[in-house]
Amino acid sequence: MAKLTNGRVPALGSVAPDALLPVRPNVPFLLFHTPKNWFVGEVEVQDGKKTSRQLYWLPKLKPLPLQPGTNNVKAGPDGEGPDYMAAQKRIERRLHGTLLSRPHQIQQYLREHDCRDQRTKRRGLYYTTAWETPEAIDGTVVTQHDDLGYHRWLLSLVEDGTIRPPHPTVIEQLRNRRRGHIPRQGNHAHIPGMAAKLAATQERVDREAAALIPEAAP
Amino acid sequence: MASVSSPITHAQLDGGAIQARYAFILGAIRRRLREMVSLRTLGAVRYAGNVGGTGSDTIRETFYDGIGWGASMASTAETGTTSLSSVTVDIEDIAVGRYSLGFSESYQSRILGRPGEINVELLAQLIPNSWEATWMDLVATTLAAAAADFGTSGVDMSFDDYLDAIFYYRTLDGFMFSVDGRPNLFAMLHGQQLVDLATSVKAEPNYQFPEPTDAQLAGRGPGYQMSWLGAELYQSNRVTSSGGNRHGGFFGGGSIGWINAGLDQLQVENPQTAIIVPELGLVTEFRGVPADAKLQMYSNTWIGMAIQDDSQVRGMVTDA
Repeated sequence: MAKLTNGRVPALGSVAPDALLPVRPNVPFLLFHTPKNWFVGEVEVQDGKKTSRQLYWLPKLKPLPLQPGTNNVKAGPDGEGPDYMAAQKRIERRLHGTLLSRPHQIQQYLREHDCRDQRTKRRGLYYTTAWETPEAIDGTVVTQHDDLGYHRWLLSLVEDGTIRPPHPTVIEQLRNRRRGHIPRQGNHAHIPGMAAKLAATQERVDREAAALIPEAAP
Repeated sequence: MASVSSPITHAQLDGGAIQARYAFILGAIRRRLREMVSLRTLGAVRYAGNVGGTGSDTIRETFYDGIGWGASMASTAETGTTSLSSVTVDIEDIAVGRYSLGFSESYQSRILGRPGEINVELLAQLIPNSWEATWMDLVATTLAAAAADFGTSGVDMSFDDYLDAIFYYRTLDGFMFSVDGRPNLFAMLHGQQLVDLATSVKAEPNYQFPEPTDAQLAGRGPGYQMSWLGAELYQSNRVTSSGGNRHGGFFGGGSIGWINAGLDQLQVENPQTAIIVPELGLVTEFRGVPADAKLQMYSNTWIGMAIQDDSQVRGMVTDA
């Protein structure tokens, strides 16, 4: 019987298909944040022995795909990774953003999985965040998301000063955007579909009103 | 369905699910349908130049502001001194990267092949399509890095998300929904986002009438969908996914730029058989490997794409 190594059966040649994700390889990415991108998410907080959930405004991170030829990412010297210096400079100086590019940060959030494109059969790597667990099920990829873990990490980025806390005006603009949906939907609340939309919007408005604005730890 | 890996060999074509012992009708050799969408010829993504022969892999563009329509005159007292104005100068860069694709075929496969069967010459004819697919991948990848988004992570795209985007462009200083009568706002959304949008629109009273509802719900497949509320709406399933969300987006015409590297200075090994598409910067070469009884085909191109005006590019990030 094949022995499991790191939870994976060693290659069995043509006897059994290997455990590769049936998905096209993608490129690694770095996450970045710009000052106007925030969303509301639940975070588990510990109060003594009691664990509860609290809504927070959390930084909404974007991927910077490290694909040479896009967004000023260039190919690095052979054997080295892509050169993203120009992209980083642009994010930091032009967008006043934060690129999470330090090695310990990348190790925290980036994961790679072996994969094979079903069309071209090219093998490669499929990159996800650490809070996504992709699995091959019947020829497709199903991904489980650890939202609570991801949100906890996002909050820690603000608390440890990596990302500056949101400006209250930015949060107010985001709340206003959502609140602005209510009058339009309310005009047609007699239609069941719109009434359901209105209820969902109201719930999100309430969540956004109740969410705490994170602060850097003293 | 069977997979034929490079080098394409007779053993593979003869065995597995293909089994050449069956008699095939020539017309039955068909390609699987795949998305064939490119925004390249629309001018939505602006061609910004050619770095071939420049000594650099990067084009730098200069943008001016605070001049002409960007600088109105200040009210000045009868004998007041006029304040001098500054001109804003801004730069944006686009760098090229190398993209390549190769196939190989065994001599035996060629010798024993049926008429119309795949071979490296046929594959080479299809390479410009692969180039367009690559170009569209670059649009999707570039759009994923938009500085700010509409939509809600983990929540299906809604009509309100669409309106948020349209209203953003309405209030964006100087943004033109059309220039010289040509549309100037483009949206590239994943099929799933369009399905969610159509589902949301179904409940909208203003879209209860048959024609607009039909236009929203009708399945057209990837490509141009419709002009809707000021945006030219395209579907492409090349839109990337990350963190459980689809990263579609909106962009103003020319706010994303692309460049290539011309091949004028390239010396290929065998100019008689090489295929060069100058306008794309695409070169395809063939070579035989007698020791292994194989034919090989390699294509290379150098292209790049980048956001040129952040304010005109907005992501639409919604549940996958």
